[in-house]
Amino acid sequence: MPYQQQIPCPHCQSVILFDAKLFVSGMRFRCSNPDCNTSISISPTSLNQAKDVFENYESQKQTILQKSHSN
Amino acid sequence: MPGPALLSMAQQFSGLPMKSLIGGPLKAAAEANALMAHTQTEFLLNTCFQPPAQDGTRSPIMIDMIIERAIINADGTPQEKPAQTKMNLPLLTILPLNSLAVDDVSVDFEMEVKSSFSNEKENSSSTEVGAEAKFSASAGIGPFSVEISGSVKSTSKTASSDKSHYEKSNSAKYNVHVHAGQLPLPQGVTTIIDAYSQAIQPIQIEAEKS
Repeated sequence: MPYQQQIPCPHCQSVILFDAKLFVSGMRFRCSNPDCNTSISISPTSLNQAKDVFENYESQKQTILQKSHSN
Repeated sequence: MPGPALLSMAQQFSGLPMKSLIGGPLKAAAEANALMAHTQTEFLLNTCFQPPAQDGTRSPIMIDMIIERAIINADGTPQEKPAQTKMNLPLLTILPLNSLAVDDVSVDFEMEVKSSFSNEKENSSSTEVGAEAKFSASAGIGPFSVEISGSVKSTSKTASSDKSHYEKSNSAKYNVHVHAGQLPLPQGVTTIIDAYSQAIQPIQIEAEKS
């Protein structure tokens, strides 16, 4: 699974790798430190907002790419 | 035999608008880059930041995150309910930001000028003269009878051909290939995101008692 993004683990400062698309769909991601046992997920209260922004961003990105290729 | 004048190569190329052919696509790519950068910036400001305050500053939109940690009891067995912590994170940090830009422009221009002249001449002549005689005679006594026959044949052939060939052609091919891709984020944006990420301060909302 291609994890393209990372944030520091709030507990051990190791790296938590995550895939934004899966992240905004509610999936939980674990810290890369095997001794940490920390996982993060987006709170259900913010899930819709994050999902909307992510989808808008992806849509706009595709539109820009298509426009540039058609020119 | 002097043929028609061949095409002048220099003359063929001197009229080409090379400045437009090469500069046009590059200018279009630069304009596309500026447009994409402006669009992306506007999008980020509108979706990942609060509307500007009176002093013009913008605050990032924060989303709630849940951090879970498994808790191991003293006897080594895991607790059923992990410790849950809530924290706020800027929305900006979870977007897969990459600068979109035209990262490759190639202009291929190929022009071919052909000019050729050929002359081919062929003359041939042949003469054939033939004679053919045939004689027969018969004579009779009594009433006189004389029969004479003969034939003569003569053939003469002359052939001449003159071929000339002149060809000229111009062909031109002009390809412009533009590719837009994702570039690494500018250092400034990376620094902002890093600063937000490093400033994560978890707030424990539920403490586990061990």
